[in-house]
Amino acid sequence: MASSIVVAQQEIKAILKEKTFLLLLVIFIGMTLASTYIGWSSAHTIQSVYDSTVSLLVEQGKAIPPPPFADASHLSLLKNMVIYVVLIGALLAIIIGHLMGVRDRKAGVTRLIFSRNITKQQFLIGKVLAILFVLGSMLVVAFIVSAVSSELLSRITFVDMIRIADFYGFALVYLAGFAFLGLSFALTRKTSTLALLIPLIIWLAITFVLPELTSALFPTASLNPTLPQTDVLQSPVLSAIHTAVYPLSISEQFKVVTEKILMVPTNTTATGSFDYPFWLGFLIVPFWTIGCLVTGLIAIRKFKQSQG
Amino acid sequence: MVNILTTLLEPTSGKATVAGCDVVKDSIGVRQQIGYLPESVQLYGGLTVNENLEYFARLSGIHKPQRRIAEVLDFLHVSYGDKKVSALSKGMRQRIGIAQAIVHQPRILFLDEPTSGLDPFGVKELRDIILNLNREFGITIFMNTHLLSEVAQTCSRIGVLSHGKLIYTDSLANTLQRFPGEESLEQIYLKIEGSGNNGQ
Repeated sequence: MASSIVVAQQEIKAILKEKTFLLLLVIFIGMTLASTYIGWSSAHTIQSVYDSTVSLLVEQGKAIPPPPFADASHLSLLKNMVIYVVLIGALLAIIIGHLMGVRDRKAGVTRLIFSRNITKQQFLIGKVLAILFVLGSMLVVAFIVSAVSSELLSRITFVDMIRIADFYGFALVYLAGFAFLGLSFALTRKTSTLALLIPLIIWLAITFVLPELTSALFPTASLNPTLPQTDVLQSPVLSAIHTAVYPLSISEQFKVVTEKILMVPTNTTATGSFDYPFWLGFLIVPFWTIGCLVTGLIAIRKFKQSQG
Repeated sequence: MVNILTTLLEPTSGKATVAGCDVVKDSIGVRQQIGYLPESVQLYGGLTVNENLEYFARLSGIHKPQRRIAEVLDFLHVSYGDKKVSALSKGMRQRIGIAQAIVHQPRILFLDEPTSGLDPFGVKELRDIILNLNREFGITIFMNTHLLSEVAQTCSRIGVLSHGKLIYTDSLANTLQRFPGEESLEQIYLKIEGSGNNGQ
C-alpha cells in the first residue's frame, strides 16, 4: 500500500503541472460559477416578465396565472451544472486518466519503476487513488463555488447544501468511470493518440448517441436544459428503441438521478413503452464505474512493464 | 536476459535466481536487492534531479530519502540536484541514472550497455564510478556490453551469450590464461563464439 501511495502522490504532483489539465479545470470551475449565474439570470428574467404580465392582467381585470417558480427548488439554478458534468466534466476525467496512464511510458521510466519494490496491482491502485483524489478535489472546489454562489443569489437552506454535496458526490462516481476508462486504454495502447481516441469515442457514444436513441423524439434533450414547449410525438419504433437502450444510456441515468437530487424538473422526454424507475440510475451509474475499474484491472494484467 | 533477471519479463522456459530469489516466484524479493540502469537513461524530464531521486527512493521503501540522496550525489560528484533533468546532457543523465539505481543500497546493480552513447571522457568517468561502487560498497555489478575493451578494464568475471545461450563463463584472469596466444579479448571472444565453446 505504501508503494501505491507514493505513486499516487507522484501522479497528483505531476498532473498539477499539466497545462491541458489546468486549462480544462479552469473551464470546468468557470462553468460551475457561470451555471449558477445563468440559472439565476434566466429565472430573474422570467420572473420580471411574469411580474409585468401580472400588472397588465390586473389592470385588465383578468385572471392571474400562477407564478412560474412557485414550486421550483432553490437549486433549480444549478440545473445547467448537470449538463456541464456530463460534457466538460467527463472530458476532463478522460484527460486526467489518460495523462496518468501515459506519463511513465512517455518519460521512459516504466522499467525503472518496475525494477523497484512494487507490483502492477499496487501501481494501478496508486493511479486510481490519484484519480479519485484529483477528481474529488476538483468537485469539492465546484461544490464550494456552487454552494456560495447559490447562497448569494438564492438563499439556500442547509438541506439544499446537503443536496448539492450529494450531487457532486454522485458526479464523482460518474466521472471516475470515465477517468478509469482513460487510464485503462493509456496503459495498454502503444500509441497515445489511439489511447485517447478510444475513450473519447466511448464518451461521444454515451453522451450524444445513446441519449439521442433514448430521446429521439426530442433530440436536443441531451444538451439543452430547457424543457420542450410542445408535446413530443409518439412512435412505436422509437418507443421500442427507448425501452431497449435506456438502461445503457449512462449519461441519461446520471441526468435523471441528479435532477432528482437537485429537485429540478427532469429534461428527459423520452417516451417508451416501459417507464424505468428513476432509481435505476443509482444502480446503473455505479455499475458503469465498477465496470470501468474492472477494465483497468484487465489492462494492468496486459501491461508490459519491460516497455518504456 | 537483463529484463528477465530484473523481473521485468517472465522467462518462457528455464529458471533464474538473483541473490537467492527466484525471478518468477519471488520477483519482489529480487527487486528489493537490485538496482537497474537501462541502456537509455530516461527520467521525468519536467522534474528536478532531487525530485526524481526522491520518487525512486520512496518507491524502494525509503521514507525520508533526502539524506541518502545527498550522500549518493556527493559520491557521484553531482552538484546539480536542483536542475531539471530535461536540461542535463547525456553524461549527466547517466550519473543520475546510476544515482537512482544505487539510492536504495542494492546488493546487485544491473547495467545495460552503460557506456552507450557516451564520449571517451564519459566512458572513463563511468568506468571509475563502477569500479568505486564495487570497491567501496561491495556492490556486485552485472554489466552487459558490446565494448570488449570495457570488459577488460572493468570486469572480474565474464560470460558470452550467443543466440540467447550462455556459451562461456569464467573469470577474466582464467580466460586470459586459457587463451595465451590471443592478443586481445576481442580475439578470444571471436574464438569462443566461433567454436561454440562450452568451457567452464
